[in-house]
Amino acid sequence: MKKFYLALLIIIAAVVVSYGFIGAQQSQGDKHPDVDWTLSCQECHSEMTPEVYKDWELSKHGDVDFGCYICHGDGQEVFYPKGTDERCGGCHAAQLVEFEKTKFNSCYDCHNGHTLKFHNE
Amino acid sequence: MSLSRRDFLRASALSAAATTLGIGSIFGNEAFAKAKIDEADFMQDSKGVQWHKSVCRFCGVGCGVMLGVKDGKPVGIRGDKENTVNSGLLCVKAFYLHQMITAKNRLLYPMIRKNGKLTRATWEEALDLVASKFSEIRDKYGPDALAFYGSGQAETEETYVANKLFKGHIGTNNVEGNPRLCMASAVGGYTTTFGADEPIGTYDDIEKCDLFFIVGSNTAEAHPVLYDRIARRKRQNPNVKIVIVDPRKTPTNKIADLHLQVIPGYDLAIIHAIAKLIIDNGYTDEQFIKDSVNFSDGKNPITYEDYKKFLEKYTPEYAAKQCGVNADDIVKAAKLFGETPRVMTMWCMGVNQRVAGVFLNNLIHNLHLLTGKLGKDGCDSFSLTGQPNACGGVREGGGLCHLLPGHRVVANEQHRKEIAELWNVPAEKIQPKPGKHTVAMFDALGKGEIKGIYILCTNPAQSIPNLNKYLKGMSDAFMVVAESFHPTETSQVADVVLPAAFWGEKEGVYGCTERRSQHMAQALKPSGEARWDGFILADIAKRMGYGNNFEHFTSVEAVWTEYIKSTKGKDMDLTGATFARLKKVRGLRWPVPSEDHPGTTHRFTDGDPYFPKDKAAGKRMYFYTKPDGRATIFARPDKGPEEPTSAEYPIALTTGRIMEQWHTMTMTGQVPELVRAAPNPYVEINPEDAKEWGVKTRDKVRMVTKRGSLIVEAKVVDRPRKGTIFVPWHWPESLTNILTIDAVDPGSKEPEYKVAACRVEKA
Amino acid sequence: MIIASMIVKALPENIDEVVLKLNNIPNVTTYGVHKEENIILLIEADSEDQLKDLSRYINSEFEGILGTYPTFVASDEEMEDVIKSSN
Repeated sequence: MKKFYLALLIIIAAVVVSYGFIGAQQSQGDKHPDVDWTLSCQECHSEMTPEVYKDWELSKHGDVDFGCYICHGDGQEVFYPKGTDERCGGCHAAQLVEFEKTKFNSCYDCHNGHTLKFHNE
Repeated sequence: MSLSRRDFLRASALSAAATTLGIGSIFGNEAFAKAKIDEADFMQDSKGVQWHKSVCRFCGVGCGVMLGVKDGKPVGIRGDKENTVNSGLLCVKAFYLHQMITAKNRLLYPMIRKNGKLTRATWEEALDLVASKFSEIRDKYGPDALAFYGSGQAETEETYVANKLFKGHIGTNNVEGNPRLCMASAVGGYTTTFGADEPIGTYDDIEKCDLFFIVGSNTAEAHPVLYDRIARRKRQNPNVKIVIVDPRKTPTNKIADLHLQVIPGYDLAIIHAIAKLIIDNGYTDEQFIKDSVNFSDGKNPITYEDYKKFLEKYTPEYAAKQCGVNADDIVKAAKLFGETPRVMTMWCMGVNQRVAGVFLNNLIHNLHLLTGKLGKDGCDSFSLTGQPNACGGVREGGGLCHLLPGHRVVANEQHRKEIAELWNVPAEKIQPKPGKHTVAMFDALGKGEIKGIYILCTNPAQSIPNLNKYLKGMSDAFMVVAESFHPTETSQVADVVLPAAFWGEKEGVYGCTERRSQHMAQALKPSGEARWDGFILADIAKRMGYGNNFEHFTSVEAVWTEYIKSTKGKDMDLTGATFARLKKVRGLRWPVPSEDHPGTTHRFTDGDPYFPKDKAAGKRMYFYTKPDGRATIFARPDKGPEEPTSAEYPIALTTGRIMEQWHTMTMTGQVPELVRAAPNPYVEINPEDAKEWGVKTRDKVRMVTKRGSLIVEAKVVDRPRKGTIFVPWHWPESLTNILTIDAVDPGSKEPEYKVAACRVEKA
Repeated sequence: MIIASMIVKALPENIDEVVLKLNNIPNVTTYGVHKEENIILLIEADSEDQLKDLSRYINSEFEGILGTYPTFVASDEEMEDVIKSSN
């Protein structure tokens, strides 16, 4: 058991020290509706879902212009309808939590909505 | 030792926090010491992923990345938090780096053009063909009928081998690289003003700087991680000011306090006006000027008084009229520059890609020399670089037609002798006359003067200006392209395409913007039949009869070890940056003359191992690369663009990049997420112009210059100033460089991508 | 018992005040200010709910905090085996 727990510690530490991610290789869920793919996400969603777009604009992602694709994929070849924690780990590996040790299941439990602010405050 | 379980956990928790911050032990008790985890353990994580230390493949910032490999496959990318360049942060392009290694367009085997079609060949066939064809051309038409066109993305070792082969053995100085298209004017500026290329300070100055003067650079998109460092500096110190000089409003404006939105091509007068105001208001450092500065009109020495007289014309009002900005804003900028103790100027392609590129570089240096804001903490005249190894490989490695390794030039007899000795060839083998610069080289291809060319890791059939003029020459000549990807615009018209190992599949050294050389580990086997470029070139050398001097190149390290010998005792001394040492550290900033030397943060002053205290005799800075130790302030004319707007072509066209794409999309175009950010080629049009022309976003518009026309979608946005359009140049299906002008700066030979006259019509 | 560590980032000009306030929270200990703006925090909470409340309290109720970054969470019950076997 000792080795297992030491390994666990190393994992946790390894996760927290890196600001990177392991490329998300997950199965795709729902499909994005077939749309005019010559548009960028933002061009379409600023009109179709203006509230969501506005929230994104207010978020830190919006501030540095990291587009929808960062969490959701390009929509066509890769699509993650609900962001996955694995993808959050891309930039926020330092903030990853071992969820099985908490009452939470996902980053999005607390960072909800498209502002991604804590409890959508 | 008995350790309570709570102690153990506490220690583990603190250890995790301390490691995240990149600090050592935070308190000395045994529990903590026991729970501290060695960094080496992170090299393999719980999922069996091995992490390898490397450097990002994209821009010149030089971010440290870790490449994750499992079962011989690339599985992930992490920012390297130990690397002080980026402290673990990455921009969107780097996040997808590992996906590019296995991209669908990877070239996996050699190809030869047979009956007009590229067909699969063996390495033997391909290399024999290249060597025999090159030998034939050399024997029949002389060495200058051959050329090499390299890249600021090639490793230093790759450029070194090519340079040795072409300049030292084939005997032609027709050796160029794409840094000619992006950095040559910065080289011209540094060498004329200071006597030596590359910045005096480092990124460390960012965290100590109080005014960032950003000219012709969209740092937020082109160098996002550096931008983050600047933005953080401002966030933490609200007194920090940021002044931008640029024809466009860009995302960098988010942190700007003042934006001088100039007419493209007319910003020299602004810098002169600021210099005049600095003198008039007594912001100069007279002691520094007395100690360390000369004045010149470009031909002859002049006096300080002559220079002041020269500046008389450059009143804020005059400059404002020239540049299309408010005179008050120029006064504000000058006041900030003069009154803020610590100033860094940063610039990029908006300054370099101009027919007045070298002049403008000189004028920027003038401001720092007048105020003595140079060679000390938080101050520098700091050029930003577009490619990851333009500095290391091409500028330092001597990969341009007038250069030799180690900041040497072909025109200098002593330099030729030194390098000939290192290369084990007679000194006469290296020609004293510079070869053909990039635009002249592709012109000579079209005229049939150059008959064979070897292109390494770059895509000139998309990146050369005024493309229509040069594409035929590329098809006609015998063209060899060594690339990791196919098809590119260039590989499609090649006669031989050689598969090169990509980033992660080879080790080597990249040298970034701040004089830092960093080692990249080989983490993977090359894909398919791909091979390391250095070995490919050495094999061609052997087949052309130069084997003796290339046989010992059996490893990347062997090449690096030979190369750094050329730097011994030079201003860019890398003697202490041995391969073994570079593997361990997160890069070293030259001069680093010995293995126990930590590297240099400011050149030409105390702390620089070559700073001659005796000669300096108490002066703060001594530019030992100049005969009298003094840098030069130049009184350069405020030269405008080659092609001013006219009645027929009333709009100024400027080109550039967006954050999610890089250069010709060979790599970033393979990542669907990045493509989605901007799926189509477009042109940014100012809303006032759009209204006048009756154009809405997504309408098709035709842009016409004297050289060609192109139809793309309009994007109406308040970014370019009225009368200016901006076209990103990434998409291969829409070759922006059909429109751009191939006029070059007379000194640096860098083309003026940033300004052309055009007209816009609804298509 | 839940043991967690966290990095609290604060503006350097407020940092002394933040440290003082953090130390006043029961079950929270600070371990110095590092690299100008980072406070290392150790939280020992009775339950996950309490940890959650504490984190949220720190995150939302404090002025001058730029952000909080969890770096470690574990329950000491789960660690018993490690200690036993290491003794």
